[in-house]
Amino acid sequence: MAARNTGARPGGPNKTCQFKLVLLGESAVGKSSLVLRFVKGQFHEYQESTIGAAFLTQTVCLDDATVKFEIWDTAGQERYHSLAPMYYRGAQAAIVVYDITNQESFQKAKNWVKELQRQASPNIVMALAGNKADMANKRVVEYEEAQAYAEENALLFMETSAKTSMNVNDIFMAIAKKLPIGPPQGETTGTVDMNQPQQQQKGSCCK
Amino acid sequence: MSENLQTLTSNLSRSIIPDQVVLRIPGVAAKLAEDSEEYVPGAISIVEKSIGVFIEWAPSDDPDASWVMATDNGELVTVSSRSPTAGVERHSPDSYSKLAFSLDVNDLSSFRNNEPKKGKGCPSIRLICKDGTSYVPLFFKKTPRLLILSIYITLRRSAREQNLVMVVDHKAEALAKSVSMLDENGDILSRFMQNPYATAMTGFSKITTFVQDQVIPTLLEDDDAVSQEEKIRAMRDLRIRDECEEHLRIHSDAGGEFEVVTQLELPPRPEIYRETPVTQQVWDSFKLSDGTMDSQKLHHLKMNVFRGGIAPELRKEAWKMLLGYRQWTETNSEFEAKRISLAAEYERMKAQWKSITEDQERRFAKFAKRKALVEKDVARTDRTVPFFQGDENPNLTALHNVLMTYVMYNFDLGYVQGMSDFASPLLYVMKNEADTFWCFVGLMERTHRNFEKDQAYIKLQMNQLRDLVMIVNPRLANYLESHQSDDMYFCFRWVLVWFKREFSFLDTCKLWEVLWTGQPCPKFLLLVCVAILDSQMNVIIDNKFGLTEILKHVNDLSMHLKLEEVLTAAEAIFHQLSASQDKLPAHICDYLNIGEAATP
Repeated sequence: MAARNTGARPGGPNKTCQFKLVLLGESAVGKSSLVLRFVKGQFHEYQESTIGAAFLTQTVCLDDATVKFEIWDTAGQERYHSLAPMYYRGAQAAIVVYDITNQESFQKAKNWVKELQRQASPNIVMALAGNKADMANKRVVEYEEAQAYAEENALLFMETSAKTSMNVNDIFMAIAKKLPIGPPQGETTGTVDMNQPQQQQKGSCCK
Repeated sequence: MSENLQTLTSNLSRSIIPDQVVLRIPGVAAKLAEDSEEYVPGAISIVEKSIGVFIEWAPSDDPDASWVMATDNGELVTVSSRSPTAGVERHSPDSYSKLAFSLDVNDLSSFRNNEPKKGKGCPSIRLICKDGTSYVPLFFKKTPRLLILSIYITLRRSAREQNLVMVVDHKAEALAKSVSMLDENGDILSRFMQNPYATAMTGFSKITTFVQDQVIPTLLEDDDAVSQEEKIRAMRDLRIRDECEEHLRIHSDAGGEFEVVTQLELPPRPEIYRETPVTQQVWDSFKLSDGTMDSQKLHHLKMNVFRGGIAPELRKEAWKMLLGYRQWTETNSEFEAKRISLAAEYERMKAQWKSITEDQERRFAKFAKRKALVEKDVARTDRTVPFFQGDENPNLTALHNVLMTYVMYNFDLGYVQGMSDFASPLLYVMKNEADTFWCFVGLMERTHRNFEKDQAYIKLQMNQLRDLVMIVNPRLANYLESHQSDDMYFCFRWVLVWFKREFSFLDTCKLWEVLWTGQPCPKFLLLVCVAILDSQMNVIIDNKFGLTEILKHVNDLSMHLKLEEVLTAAEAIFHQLSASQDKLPAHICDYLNIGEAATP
């Protein structure tokens, strides 16, 4: 990738950047609940399963920019795995979610991380969320284990609770801060990288 | 617009109707010569003139028009009007302008298109004239959308050569052939994914059928100048009318993004009246004394259910028949005997999974996985419906039992998300585990292919849905295509669980019993989708929704749709199509089981 142009930041503090973020993770770990908490401040104990995908937006304000997240919430079940690339293609950020009370879901999260490292945009910002942190009495995935894994793979990591809203805004905010907020990078006007026809996504999307 | 083109066109005609550029795609480079490695940037246009319709290419003087292109062997070449490489001798701009051409579409014999191989190279086409002239290949910066060509000419992919697209005679017959040929190539969606350019180019000819039938026949026969001019005027009037109605962007420079709207004029939608639900009394009037349904009147009964649904108190009896748990021809005593034996069968299968201990589960991963999925989903299925509210609700256990027993009944398919959505209304109506289970088996007979691993059946239905939208509302179909939404995946949830998430619990019950009748055609579910999309056309197009907004809008329709209106519109659309069956492509008749393909 070309070096980021840090010389000019036109538009001052009011510029709005738009980023595509995708949520991935095993079924029933709380992907939709995290989004619902973040976007609407709501929590439903019996949030129905997501069929296909849902799309929501939310805006967060940083010191020098406004970041608009376009959030793709996906179905978690293995059977619908083949649809996932459609949703993470071109995503600039991903939150891989597992349930701290479910070991299997942590393993699935690792698989998702691997898949994203292999298939998603190379500069995607990835976060790992250990959800259901309010159910610490049923914990089977240790904080330290997940944190060590996240460090190895350069992931942002937080334990979250959509139910109590613990760390929910924080994890989105942390992602926003890691996203390339600046003029579009890597592309010179009028050129197209013909070798990557599917990935003509700009590194950043400030307007 | 380029001055070169202006010069060319003014030489060619003393315009009575002013020339009009209907499409201009910049970023189209011509290879300087067959043996040259030099590419000249320019733009391709389609121009309507009083003497005909012309495809034109002219070099671009714009110094910013340069771009980098990858050739087939992977080398990067700068396409620039300015000299890119110092020391390399360049041809003079004169030789560039000689490349410019203006070609009457009626002189076009075929074109050959080449797609990038494995992401290398860029799409190119070579136009070939009837007199054998072959133009230098044109290389496209972006995949072009030349849909508009289909207004003027009919395209057909060569049977012998995949990349060759022929211009065929302007006869509806040939068009029909072109449509069926496309279908022989199978799944257009998957071909499009692999090969967007070729599919787009051949896909045009589909639409042409409808223009051809309705508008063009009288216009294209004559070749003398006066009628040519009339023809152009008529075509332009047609297009302008569409434009006015539909805000088409004609001079779009946005990578040739362009909509053309053509229409098979379906007859007006008939007024449809829905009926009141079938009551016990009406239902009984179709019964013979032994409890079987009068086979002479069965169709009539199904139509009654189709038109009005079933009264809630009758559902428990009627759903068993609609779902094939009880045959229409089964007497009361026969069914009672069967019911008892099937209940025992249910208990036997239930005991199988119930007897698996936690210890066994640890070494039975496939079972444990399915069980975990069922548990997760039962806990969150329809929990806002009073029937399933509360933590210790026995109905949750019953739903769990039904789904777990189905796992044993069909272990290969197992449990897939969405199945609990299908099972819960059955339990609500049957209020009995074994009856629910066997009704569920009947329902899964109709829907299990939705849950297969390869998702092929869902894809097939999406393609069929797109084909239907193309006919019923081509403007919307074109809009979806130009907004990367013609895979129709925003309707995934509708099709997967038959609108369970879109309507209230009770409306879902009514919709399902209507669909279970199989009336008036087996794919009525898809017509329901078409009716809803058709009703949302203005919202989608006027708001200029893109891929994400369309998905969001469609998801957000949930609980805001009026079932009776939707059913009325879907039925009206069926009658429209049915009345036009002789003009419809064969595959559409096939979906709807109408016309010659119909099986009783």
